[in-house]
Amino acid sequence: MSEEKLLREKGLAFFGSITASFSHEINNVMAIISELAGLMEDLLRVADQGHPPQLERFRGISVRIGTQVKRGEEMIKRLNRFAHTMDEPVKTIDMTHLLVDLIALSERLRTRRRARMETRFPEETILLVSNPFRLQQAVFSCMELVLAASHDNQLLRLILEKQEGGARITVAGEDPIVKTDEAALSFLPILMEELGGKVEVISTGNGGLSLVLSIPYSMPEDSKKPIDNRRKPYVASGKSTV
Amino acid sequence: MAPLRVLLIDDEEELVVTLAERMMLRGIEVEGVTSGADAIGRVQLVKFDVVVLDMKMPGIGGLEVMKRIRREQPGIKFILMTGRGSLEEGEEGMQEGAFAYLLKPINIEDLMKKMMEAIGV
Repeated sequence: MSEEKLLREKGLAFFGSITASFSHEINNVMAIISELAGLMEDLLRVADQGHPPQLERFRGISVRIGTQVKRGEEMIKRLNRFAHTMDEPVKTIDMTHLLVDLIALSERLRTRRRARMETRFPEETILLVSNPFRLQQAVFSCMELVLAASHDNQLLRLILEKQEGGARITVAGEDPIVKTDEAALSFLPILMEELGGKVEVISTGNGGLSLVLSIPYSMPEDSKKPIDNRRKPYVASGKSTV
Repeated sequence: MAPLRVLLIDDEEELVVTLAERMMLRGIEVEGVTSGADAIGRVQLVKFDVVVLDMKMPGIGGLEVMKRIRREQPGIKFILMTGRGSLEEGEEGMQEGAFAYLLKPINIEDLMKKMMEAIGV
């Protein structure tokens, strides 16, 4: 399969994975609101049967509905921002904001594996001119790879740092590697090359998997164009260290 | 007749609490837990008539929870809850011997009806 086709297919799969997982979360919020509204109806029915209305209980339910509505609104905002990362192949990105959104979007991926997350972001703002969708895809792939490499319940670390010429993102697990997804691992360099960056695979002190993404301040000119408008054939530059 | 004893399992705590409150208002004795592991622990100590189980949970998945609970209490009836996007999990659960599956958001009256049918009332 050509790299262009692979990038397109993997991109679509990533988009599908995030929207499927997040729509499941939104459905859960809707289910809770539906049950809380139903509980109010139940209590009204009890009151209609001659029992005094339990006003405090109604107030409590109203607060609980408000909490779920806020939770749902936040989810929809994040999902909407994520969908809009596909609008432009290149834009100026605040890396901390992008990663905070991605961490929220990938919560289900972590809870499925009962993973805890530790993050470290720099105090200074790191702005990159890059492809926001592909960047999120790269970091998400790293999270998937690290989580799949070991057992459940592990600690996942995500570190964003400034480095000469751009930014560095480290995604690392603390537990020893049990298995690695070679197919997914071999796609990462292709994705990073598209961003003008590279990926390094490092073993942590206790044998865990650590993936380090180096991303330049600005993407290569050719990658800034939509895939269909590029010069052909596409030539890989082999920057990856994997 | 003794009240129906139900174990409700869903990783969304607020859903468990609310659905349990609604069931209790209908005379059901209900215990709620938010993980498969907790559910397996409870069935080792308490006898239930029906398990209402969310199929998509972190940690031990719905099907595995079903199998392990059945090992503890072979006669127990399962009613599964699934999202619209995971109907196949409901079907799989039916093949594993679940009594019924319902789509989330569920309708409490449908759930009550299925629970009563499950115990033959």
